[in-house]
Amino acid sequence: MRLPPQPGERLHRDRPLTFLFDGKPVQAFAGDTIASALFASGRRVFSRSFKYHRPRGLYCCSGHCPNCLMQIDGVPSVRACMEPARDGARVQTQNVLGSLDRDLMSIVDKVGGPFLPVGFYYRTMMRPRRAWPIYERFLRSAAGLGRIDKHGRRTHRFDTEHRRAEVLVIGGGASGTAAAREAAEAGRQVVLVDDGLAERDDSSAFEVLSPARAIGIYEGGLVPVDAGDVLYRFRAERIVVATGTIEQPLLFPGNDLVGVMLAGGARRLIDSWSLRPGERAVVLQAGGDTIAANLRRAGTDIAAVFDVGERAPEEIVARGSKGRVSSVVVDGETVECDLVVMSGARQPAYSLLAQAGARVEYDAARAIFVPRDLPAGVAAVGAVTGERGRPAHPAPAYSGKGKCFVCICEDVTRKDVKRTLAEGFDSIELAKRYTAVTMGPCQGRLCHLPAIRLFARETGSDESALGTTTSRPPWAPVSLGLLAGRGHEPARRTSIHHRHEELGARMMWTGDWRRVHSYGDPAAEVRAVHEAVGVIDVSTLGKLLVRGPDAVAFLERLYPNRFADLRVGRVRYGVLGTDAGRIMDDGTIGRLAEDELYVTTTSTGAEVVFEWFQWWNSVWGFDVEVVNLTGALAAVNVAGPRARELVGQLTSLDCSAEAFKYLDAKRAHVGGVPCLALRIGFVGELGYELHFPSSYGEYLWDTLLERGADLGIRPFGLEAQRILRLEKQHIIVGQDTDSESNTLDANMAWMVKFDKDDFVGKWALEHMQVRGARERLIGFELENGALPAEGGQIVVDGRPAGRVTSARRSETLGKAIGLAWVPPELAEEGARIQIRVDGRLEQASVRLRPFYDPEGERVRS
Amino acid sequence: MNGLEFIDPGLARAENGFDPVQRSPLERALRDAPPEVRDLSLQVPEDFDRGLAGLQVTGERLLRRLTDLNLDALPATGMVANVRATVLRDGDEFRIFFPQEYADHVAEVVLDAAEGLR
Repeated sequence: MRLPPQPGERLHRDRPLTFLFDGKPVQAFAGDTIASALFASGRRVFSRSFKYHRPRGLYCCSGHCPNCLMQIDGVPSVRACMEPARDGARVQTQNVLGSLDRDLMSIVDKVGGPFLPVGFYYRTMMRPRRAWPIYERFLRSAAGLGRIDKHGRRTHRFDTEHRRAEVLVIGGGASGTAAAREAAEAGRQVVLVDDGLAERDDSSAFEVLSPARAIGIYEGGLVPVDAGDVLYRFRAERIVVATGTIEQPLLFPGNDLVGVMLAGGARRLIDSWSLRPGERAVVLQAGGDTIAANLRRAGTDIAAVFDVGERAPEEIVARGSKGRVSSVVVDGETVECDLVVMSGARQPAYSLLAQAGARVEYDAARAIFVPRDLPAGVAAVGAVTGERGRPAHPAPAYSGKGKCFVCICEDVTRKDVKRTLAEGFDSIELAKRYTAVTMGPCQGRLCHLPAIRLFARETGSDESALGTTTSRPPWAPVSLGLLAGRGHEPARRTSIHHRHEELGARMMWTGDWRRVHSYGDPAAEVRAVHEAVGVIDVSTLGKLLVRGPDAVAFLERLYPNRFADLRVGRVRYGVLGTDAGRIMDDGTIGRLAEDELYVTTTSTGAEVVFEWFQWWNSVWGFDVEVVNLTGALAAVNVAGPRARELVGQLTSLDCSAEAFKYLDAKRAHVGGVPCLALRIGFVGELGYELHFPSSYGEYLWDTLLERGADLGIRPFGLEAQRILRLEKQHIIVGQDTDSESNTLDANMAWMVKFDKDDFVGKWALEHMQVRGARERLIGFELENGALPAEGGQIVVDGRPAGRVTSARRSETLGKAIGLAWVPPELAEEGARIQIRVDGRLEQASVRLRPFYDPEGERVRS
Repeated sequence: MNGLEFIDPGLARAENGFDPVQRSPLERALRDAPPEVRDLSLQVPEDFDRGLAGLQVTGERLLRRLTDLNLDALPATGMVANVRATVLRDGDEFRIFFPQEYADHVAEVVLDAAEGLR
């Protein structure tokens, strides 16, 4: 039943609405929260506790405690006391087996207490180890905070917005509002963040975000603010924290019974939602709270008021029936009641200040922690400073029989804390992790201070010496959806990408590029390259221009190869090494002019190689400029015996074998587009790699396919390319090499020029040369049809001795082929090795020369 | 053709029955874009790197959903839609230039952010 309209009431009684609670309709008014409307409907049990499944009722009504967590419109663990009532909302209880009023799991409270102390599962569920997943599933199901739909899709839209403020005020109470107004009047741009609980009379001079909560304060003045559907990431020149205080509960047996409530909670029920919290109340207050007057105004009988700050009773016990409070015993005096309103110390809500770098110290006179030494750019105003209000100094805990809860989120009792100490967890940080006190939904708002005070009493130390645990974001609960924001994944796409999609290509990730796996039939794509002509989009290759008087000297020092003798218009394959002589990347280096070289890298290595070049250039101080052209240029490789015929149709360039030889680099218009054409042969056939401005990607691709139609052209993807290059035993860096592979062991000693004065990794390679190979990269073939997995094991004398790096079935060769690292003594042509395939050992032969066209006649044709 | 001319899209020419056509990397993505989002890819300033795509976006709030750059201190280079970009400002209009290979991604984010503000 509602009281007559109260001053400051938030209800709009002319706007009724209805929502569903566990399928049954509940009447509410606009301005109600889900919790206030349920309370008005007569509901008193709002949740079941985390571990013992004890009934819990409204407690703080300010979004701190876990007592009103419910599943609302599919979202678990929503605080019903903060969630506005909406017409048609679907509200469900959570963490119950049965119903909220009859939860079968409440048996745990009756019989499980002695058997289920803190951390019991670490001791009693250790064996058998294989059963842990079963235990874990059971525990998760028995003690939970709602359920998420594992197969659910996004149901809410969450956005992120970057904001700046000269002054950001966090907390919209009287002090925060005054600080905001003062700064605004001084001409500053002010934004005030308010959780929506406080009333403000004037906000016209500054921007107000409400309801909204600051999640934390990070480096550089970054303050993420949860405004429901939008996460504002504020960068503020000055942050003013006005988060006030948090009313602390008292520790006594029965302090979690339904009907035991914080004074602030009772006050909000009366003032904001015109509800009578109970019929007959006992008030336990430490420090002159005025709640009794509010209760009387609401028509509640005040059975007794105990000032626990002054009188300091020894014993307080709340007793109840079916989980609801029915009486309170204070030093032997029993008072019948259905409501216990308690108010301990008022702890400054200093967490944001601590995150910003403030020191936190214990004020023994007030029995609270207070912030000190605020960092530059951060100010505190109002009660959060700890300088206001009357001292309230309740006892750390009151004696009596029954469960006394230190942490109602995690169901940690005073007995648990004692046991934790007895087990040797005598540091508060360790005890926090062991008991989980402060780690539940309230994040220490209601248990941090009481736990430390209790800890101090039980250990005989004082709170100042114990200190406090670390305050970490998030200060306010935040949904993962809001943190995740929109689901966009940065992907790089070539300028020909859409043509591939139109051709029905299956795409795959290579690094952050989207590339073509195949166009549906990799084997046919391989055949086209061998028998006619194929074209592949290789725009993803890294493309660097190195130019300047020292360009050649620069590359000579970076690569183990020699470039001084590379003539203008010629191309050379090179492998880039690290200081430790390990293979880092590979590609081709074309000499365009005496002082201009064009370097290609692997698709995923472009950025690293570019930075590598720039770094060494700054170290050595060569007169060289390095330009990254990766995105500016598209590239296609036209390969196959009829590639010359096709390219020749599109350009006036003489493409004859004599005029345009293997490893030549020439510039020409192809189909009217300016191109750099490189005659290289990664896929083992006559080929032309055309590099040209990206904006002509689709045009030149279309032109090649149109003109090549009569020649049997087929686009091919990475899968076909992998087969083709494997037939030639061409390596892929990162696939066939790892961070330990070196050029010598990978059979490329021919490119390492030890007679050069210096190059990156020379010392290491010289050492490796003297030491000798530890393993060798070899080709292998299996003729019985078995296909090893990449990463598969090479077995010698029954022991693992190497690994397969690549393996494919070659239709051209009629067998499975691959590359593998093996002990050096096995790197002999025709040697027999064993490879584990599907659990069986298969015989394979070592092949040190390319499987296909070993003399390279086709690629040079 | 000499030197680095193969990099220059301006040197494409119609010849021998070929008529090269440039295509903006944003052309498809912005086909049905609202008026506050325009394609500038074929109008990238001369002194900018080649290979950039460009967008013109109207509205400060929309920009705030895309980047943490200080919009009162432009031009500047920083992350826009999780891609490194340069942003220029003319009143309430912003020009964003970024590597063209991210065109679809940036367009997707910009259009989605614009949708979120409607």
